[in-house]
Amino acid sequence: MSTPAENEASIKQESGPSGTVQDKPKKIVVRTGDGEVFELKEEVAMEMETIKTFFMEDNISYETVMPLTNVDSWELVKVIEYCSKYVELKNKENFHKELKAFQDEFVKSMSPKTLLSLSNVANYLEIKYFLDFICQAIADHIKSKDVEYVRELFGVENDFTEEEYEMAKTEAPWAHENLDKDLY
Amino acid sequence: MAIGTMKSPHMPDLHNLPDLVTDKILQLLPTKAAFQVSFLSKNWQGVVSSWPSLNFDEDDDFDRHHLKRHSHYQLQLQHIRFIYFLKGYLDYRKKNDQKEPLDKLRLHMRMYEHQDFSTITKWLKYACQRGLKELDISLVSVDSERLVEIYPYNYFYNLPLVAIATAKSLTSLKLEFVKVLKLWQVYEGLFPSLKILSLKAVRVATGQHLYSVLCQCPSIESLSLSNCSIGNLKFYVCCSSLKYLEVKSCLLNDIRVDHAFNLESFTYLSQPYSECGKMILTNAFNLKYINISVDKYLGEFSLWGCHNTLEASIKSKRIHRFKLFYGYLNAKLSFKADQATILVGELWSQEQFSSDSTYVPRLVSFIKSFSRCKEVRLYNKKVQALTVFKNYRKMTSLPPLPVTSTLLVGIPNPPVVGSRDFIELEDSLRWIAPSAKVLIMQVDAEEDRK
Repeated sequence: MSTPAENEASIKQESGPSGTVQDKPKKIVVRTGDGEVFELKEEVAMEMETIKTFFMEDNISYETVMPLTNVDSWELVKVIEYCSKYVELKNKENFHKELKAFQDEFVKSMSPKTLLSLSNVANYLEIKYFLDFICQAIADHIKSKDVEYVRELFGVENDFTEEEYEMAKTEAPWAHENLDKDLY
Repeated sequence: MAIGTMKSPHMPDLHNLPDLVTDKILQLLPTKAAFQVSFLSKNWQGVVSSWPSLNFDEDDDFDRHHLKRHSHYQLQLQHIRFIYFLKGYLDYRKKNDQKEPLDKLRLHMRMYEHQDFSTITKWLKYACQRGLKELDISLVSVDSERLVEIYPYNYFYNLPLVAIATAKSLTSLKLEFVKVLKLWQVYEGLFPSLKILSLKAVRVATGQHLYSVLCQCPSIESLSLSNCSIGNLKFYVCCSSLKYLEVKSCLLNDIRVDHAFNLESFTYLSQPYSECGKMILTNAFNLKYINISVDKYLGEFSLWGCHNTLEASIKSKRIHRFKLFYGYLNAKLSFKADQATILVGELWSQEQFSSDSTYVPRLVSFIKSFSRCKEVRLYNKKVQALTVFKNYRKMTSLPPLPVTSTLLVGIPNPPVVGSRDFIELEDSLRWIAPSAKVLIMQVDAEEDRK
């Protein structure tokens, strides 16, 4: 794991005191919204567009601690777990099979609300493949649930007035089904 | 900090889940469920009339309403609602869309009925007018589930090609449980972008019809057939762009794959007690993988050209003619048959043979592939092509066909009995198959087909 990072280190711009950084894999330091400080491996951190842009755009030195005010420490732990695994498996032969196995395990331990929080974080950190994965997991969870369950889970408030809702129903009666009504 | 099934202390305000995220989630739901969920609030309504990827799945719909598969009456009622939604959503889209492209349409039914024909056909036409790229339809009806052995083709959806003839951007077409019969009018330039074609439980009137459609697919790379029925049992493909060909559990008697310049993988697996008269592949110089299993009998297998890294697995009880030409001597062959006639077609010219010192070892290891055959017949025009010379036999002690009980050699002009050529050939054959009855016979010359 350290060798690719070392290669990356020699191509990417220098940061901090020259020379010493060439031997060790580079680390990027971030601080979460709840005040915890995390050291990320450069190759994992660069999977997150938000972090990548922050450092790359203005050539900011890796010594700067990047604030991630919208991310909680438990969320970052999960994100690091997923991205590290993804980077590890990326170039392997059984990539899809092993990733699927990891994804199944990853989702098992999480409640629907947790998944929702992570989708927010994935969007904020701009990690496309992680966002796709979390959204798919959420979709798979709610696809067999009724509309009221989804309302509660997402905490969505109904901003339709009675008239507006009735009008929507008449416009699309085929979408508002009633199980005990027969349609012929 | 505890992570897992417990709620974490600092829950972000989920009311502010960005539109991008909720839109993404909605678009990953089966379309019927997504449309219903979109009524949660005004900003969830979003872009329901321009979702680029649609997924109408009756199985998901039944699960969503917790319907058990054995309660037939409830399933029928739900099917009516499903069709009602399909019709309504199509009209809704036609009315409200801004002609945005529709990339993917997936329509999987469990309770397809004849009355659904027009709704489905209208959807196909609409989707293709919106630049459809991927089409995946599976129209299982109650009856097709019950009679697995003999599909009731009468009840299948009869796909009208005209409905999808406008889909010039179609790259992937997957059809399951449909029939495509009206093929006598083939449209010019039907599917110019089609790369993937997958047919499962599809009925086609004749092989020529399928061939004429495939001719209109100049970019096709992957073709797979499974449990298909082709009326005259002929399968003919001539697509130089084809890379991957798979035929499983289809009743076919005559298979021909011509101009297989780019073909890399060929799989043919058939049911128990199956027979196949002819299987010919030509110009298959890139073919690296073969997997064939025809249970009872394979009449003729001809491979004209293959890649030098070819790995082939061939299995049948009896193979009447097994012919390989050009480059097969380097192939890794796994051959399982009780009885087979093998044509060693590599060397037709004397010059090639005398200058190639690696021929004999390669011939021996090639013959070894047939070690599990009880009866082996070798054929070649030239005696020398089948002779393993004494100096080589001395070097190796392992005969290639130790348990073969009959070894026949057929040559159009066999050497005269007692001549040096004859004795060398006989010694060579006895060495190749020490337990076998060895016979050298005159046979008619095999046509040199090219």
